Amino acid sequence: MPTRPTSAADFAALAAAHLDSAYNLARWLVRDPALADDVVQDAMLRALKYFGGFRGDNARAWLLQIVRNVAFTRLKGEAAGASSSVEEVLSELAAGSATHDSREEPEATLMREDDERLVQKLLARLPLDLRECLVLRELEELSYKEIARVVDAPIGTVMSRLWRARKLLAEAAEMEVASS
Amino acid sequence: MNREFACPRALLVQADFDGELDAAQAAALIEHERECAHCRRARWQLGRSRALLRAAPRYTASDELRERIARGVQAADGAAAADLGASAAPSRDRPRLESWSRRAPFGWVSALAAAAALLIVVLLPRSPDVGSQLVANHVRAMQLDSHLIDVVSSDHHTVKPWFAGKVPFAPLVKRLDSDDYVLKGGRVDIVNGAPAAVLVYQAGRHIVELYQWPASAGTRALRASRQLDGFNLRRWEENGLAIWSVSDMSAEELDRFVQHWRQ
Repeated sequence: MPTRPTSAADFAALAAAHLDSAYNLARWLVRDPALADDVVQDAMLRALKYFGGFRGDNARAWLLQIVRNVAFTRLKGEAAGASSSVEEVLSELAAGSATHDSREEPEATLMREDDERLVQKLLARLPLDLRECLVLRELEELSYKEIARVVDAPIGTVMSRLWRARKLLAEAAEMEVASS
Repeated sequence: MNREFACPRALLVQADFDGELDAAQAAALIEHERECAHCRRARWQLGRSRALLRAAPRYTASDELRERIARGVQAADGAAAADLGASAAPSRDRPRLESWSRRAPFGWVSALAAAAALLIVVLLPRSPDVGSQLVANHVRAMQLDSHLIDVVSSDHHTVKPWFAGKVPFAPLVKRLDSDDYVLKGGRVDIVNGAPAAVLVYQAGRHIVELYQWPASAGTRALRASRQLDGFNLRRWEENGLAIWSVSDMSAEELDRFVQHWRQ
């Protein structure tokens, strides 16, 4: 690290260190590679602007919080905050491909699903507020406190969202296995 | 909500699964899971979902995106420099990048405890009430003979100090001067997720247990006597402690015991 107070250089190093985390979150939220690129770029430039006010605690959670907000703004049309009940998502899943998602890659519907396809599909159908908690916990391995900061919700809410997400996933996977 | 939390401690099982519980909380939970099929299923589902997620890719930023951002930061630097200069704390006060650990364990334990406490309060109507817990504890202790008494002694000067450091309060321990009631010993049990001191007395062919923990406003409203699954329970307060006695003795016999104990 440079000892000279070069804020932009500090920020560049910080952004580089957490860029994969930022991209992974964006990609799972918007589920489109090009849009995820845009979200991350936009988020990083905003972060640079706010860097002066950053207190220095947990840079990754701070960056992810900005990425998440940018992604949600881009997804505004999609009722981002709404979450389906367990029953709704399960019945949607049971209805099969009736709700085909245009963002899904075309071959996904043709190929016989291996584990990755299955988990992609299941995660894609999770309500956004559940999916983001799950991705932050299981893929980014954030603590409850960090997740609460990123998604701007109380820890208790994070816990219950995580629980619903995991329960849905486990039950949906059982249904998939049973129906194949 | 009902389907999601068949047992209100499911979220604590999850917190344990995510490594967010301290050792004492985790230990109490293991105890609970032995008794609770809902929580055992919850743990199974957690494992199932995690196994599934191992197949989920962790996407990484492309080199092109990295370059784009590096260029963007450079370009914005000139424009942002003024802002940074005006509002930033001196850079040397900012932690170095290396010191930002991936997981910073700040005050999250207490935050989690607060969340868990809140959860218990919110879900209390659905959790087993204290009486049911005591009966369940009593039955379990009777079934597992070795679990009934952790300190075997009829001497209250032995039993009372044994509790020191095991429960965060000083329980009332009395050796009853009566041939009818003999102090057998004591143990620590969990009630409402917190440690309780338990005294075990032999009364003829019956066992009487006395559970003690610090009294709180919440338990004060509970009934002083009740019957549950063939067991009799008596509740009172003494020296700031909530005291419950549980036994399969008849209501009259238990009243006599309590009267004698309280003299």
